[in-house]
Amino acid sequence: MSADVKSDRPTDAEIPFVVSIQDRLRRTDRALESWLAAHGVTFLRYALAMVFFWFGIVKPFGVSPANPVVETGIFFLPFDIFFPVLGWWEAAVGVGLLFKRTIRFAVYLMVFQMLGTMIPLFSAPSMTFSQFPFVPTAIGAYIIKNWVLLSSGLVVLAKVDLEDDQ
Amino acid sequence: MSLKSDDTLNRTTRQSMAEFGAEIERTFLAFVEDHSLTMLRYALVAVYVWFGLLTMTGTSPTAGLVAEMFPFVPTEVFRLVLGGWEVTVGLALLSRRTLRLAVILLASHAAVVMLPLAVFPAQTFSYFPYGPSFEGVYIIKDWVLLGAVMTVGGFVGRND
Repeated sequence: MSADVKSDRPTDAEIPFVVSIQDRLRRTDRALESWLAAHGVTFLRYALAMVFFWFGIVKPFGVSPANPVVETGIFFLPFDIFFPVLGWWEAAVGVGLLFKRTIRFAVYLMVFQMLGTMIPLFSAPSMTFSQFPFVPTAIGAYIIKNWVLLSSGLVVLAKVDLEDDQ
Repeated sequence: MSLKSDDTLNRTTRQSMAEFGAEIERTFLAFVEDHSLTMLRYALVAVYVWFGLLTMTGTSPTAGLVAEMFPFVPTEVFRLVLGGWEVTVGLALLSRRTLRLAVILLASHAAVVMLPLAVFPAQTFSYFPYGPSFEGVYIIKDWVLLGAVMTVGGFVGRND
């Protein structure tokens, strides 16, 4: 239907309550967008810091559920040495994310660690997939989620204003 | 070769290595600046669509726990709804017009899937409250995913 055909039915713009609902939706959307732009990265940064510090620090203290994953997936490194080092490494990433001066360093540490976590997907597919390559096991899904964590780290590096607290 | 020229050589080598390192870092930071948001967005799309489908077919590691909290809903139905919800979040992230819808859907989704941490601490923690079990860490990681979707929802529309 062409736009210039006059119809007796009022268009949306002529019905007051429709206009007010549209307005309200638009305003809500804008408010949500600016709230997210202001606080989304902060939330993401602290969520990452928490996850890395927490899941890292439990490794050297022997309460981490990731033991079998690392032991089987990274079978080519001596587990007794590698596992605590990995834990402290992750904890360092978590702490580093908290301070603007160390964010960049933390993200560099994280990139290496994250690429390392992908190894079990290939080195132990029988543990990480129930049907390679489309149906991961719980462990596989856990590892695949790291893609989001890795990209999140990069976004934090790009979007946190590194200058403003010096 | 005199000591002096040797020293000069070392300094030159060191300088060019430092420049090489700085070059790599610049390239990396430029990539991060330009592409990290896009990368994050598509990683989220992949994870939500893929794992949503797994939830629907009953192979998700934690959907069972979530379903247990709602004993009045048949597990099959619950799985379909939860998985469909996740797939919708993933698809909504694809278009700028539906980004905020994804955020809203995901916030409500997160509220539901976080509940097992409080309701079933026996399954989600091996050492409450500091040592999460495998289900526990899987669920706690969703905090990062929520933050990631919030970030994408705030930035993508305005930058381009």
